Amino acid sequence: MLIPSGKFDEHVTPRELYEMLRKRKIKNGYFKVRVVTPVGRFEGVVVFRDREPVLAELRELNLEKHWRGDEALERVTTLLLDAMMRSDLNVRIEVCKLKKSEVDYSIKMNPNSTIKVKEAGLSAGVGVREDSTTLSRLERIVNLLGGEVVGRVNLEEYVKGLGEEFTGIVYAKSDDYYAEVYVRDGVIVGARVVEGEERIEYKGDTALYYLDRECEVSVKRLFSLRVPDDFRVTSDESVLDKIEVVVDDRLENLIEQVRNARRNLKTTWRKG
Amino acid sequence: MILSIASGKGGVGKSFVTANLGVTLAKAGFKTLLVDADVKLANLEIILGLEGKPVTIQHVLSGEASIDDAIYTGPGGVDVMPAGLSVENVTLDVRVMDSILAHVLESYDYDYIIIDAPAGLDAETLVVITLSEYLLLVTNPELPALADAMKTKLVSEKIGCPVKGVVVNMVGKSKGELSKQVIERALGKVLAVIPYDKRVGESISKGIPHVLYDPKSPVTKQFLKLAKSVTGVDISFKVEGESKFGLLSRLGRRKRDRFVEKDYHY
Repeated sequence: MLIPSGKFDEHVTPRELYEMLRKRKIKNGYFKVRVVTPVGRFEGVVVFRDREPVLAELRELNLEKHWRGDEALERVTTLLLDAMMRSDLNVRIEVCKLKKSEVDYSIKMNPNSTIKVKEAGLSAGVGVREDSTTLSRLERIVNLLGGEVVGRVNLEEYVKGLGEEFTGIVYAKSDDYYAEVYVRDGVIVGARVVEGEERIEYKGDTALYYLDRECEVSVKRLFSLRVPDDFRVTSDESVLDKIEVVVDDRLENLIEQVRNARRNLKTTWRKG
Repeated sequence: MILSIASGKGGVGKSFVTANLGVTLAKAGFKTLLVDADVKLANLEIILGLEGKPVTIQHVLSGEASIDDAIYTGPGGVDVMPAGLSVENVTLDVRVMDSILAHVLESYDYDYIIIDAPAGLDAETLVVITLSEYLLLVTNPELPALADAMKTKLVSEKIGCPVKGVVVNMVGKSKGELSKQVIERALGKVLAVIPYDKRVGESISKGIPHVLYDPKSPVTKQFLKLAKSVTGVDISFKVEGESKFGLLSRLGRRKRDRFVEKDYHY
């Protein structure tokens, strides 16, 4: 995106940026966010005019992918939500001020990055009020970033009870534990867990072994879910159909022998 | 309680689970005896650093020694009846084993007797299952191990020995592992998930039970969880000093293990 560099204001954390957006502190200017996630390195820019977002662009730096306008805005908010809920992402956010004339010039120079806001697109986030059409673009972003805090629960039990209507990501965190569980129509389709003071990482099917933890849980509902390849759960209960458990005659005879012997054993009293 | 630890398939970590569960219980104050019933391929004593004992269960089974002479106090205060590493033509007879256990129960007042069962489903394994109140199944998150564990479960239920739960060992070793849901559907409740950890090999080679070798590791945490499932009470034991790793060594390990994070920093 072609924008003037403007006047650097401050570096902020994702939580601080959320508060700035909630309080409409960015009048004319932009924030630039750099996030390194398991699926790539991202750099996003959102420009504000009169406290409303007007331009957005997101780049994936490794693969040189670009998103502009509404799609970029939605992806940037998703990244910020991830960054707020996770402690293991490398995040850098800077806020810069622009003159109003510089913002107007930027809008002219970047027509493809203009935010038009598709109502359904942004209202897909958690916590968006039913009457989202009456909300400003910024309020929608703030609502989207807000997520839904469930509280301290057993993650495994919570995910099991989500129900078929849930599609989204469940985040969980405690002292030395972090998990994200991708759920589509109530079924776990991906997972990642980072555990222990040495931050050992488990992905996919292996991560499912480490969900039985009491932790702070938050959820983000989504219309569509994109699961990073590494996190996909592939194990299917149908593999059990391949296994035929048969007790052959030799084994049946042995079982019969030990059963008979058991009647006169000294230790059998312990079995009642 | 007499608890046997079985798997069906060999090499899944039965003896490792037996040794570390036993030490955990003993450290927590439960009087515990470990019996190595895998007389043909014994390795419980290697994990506990007790190899080379003069009297073993083989001598007891063959009538050459008394039961009391074959019991040794091992690490963490756990009592152990080793099987000996020599390959003798000794088999487990259900009546002889019954007499051994009855004597031990009457003479020593153990809270827990944990029997390390042989692999496979031969007569020896069935003898161990017959004499146990509960069975703890050990498996790896792989199809061959699961299939053998399913067969062991079926046989155990036919004999009348209920399965108390499942320990999944070496989780995270390879890609394409079976999920916890699949294992629970096939075998029952998973009581503990032992992650794959290279330091387990170090502890075995040094003859120190892992729960003592690295008391703060995720592996040890799972043994505390397993012990809680077995006893029904919260288990913890005081760590005597730091783990075997000093500060510099810990820093080295952090650097070594950082590969899992390198993709997320630049």
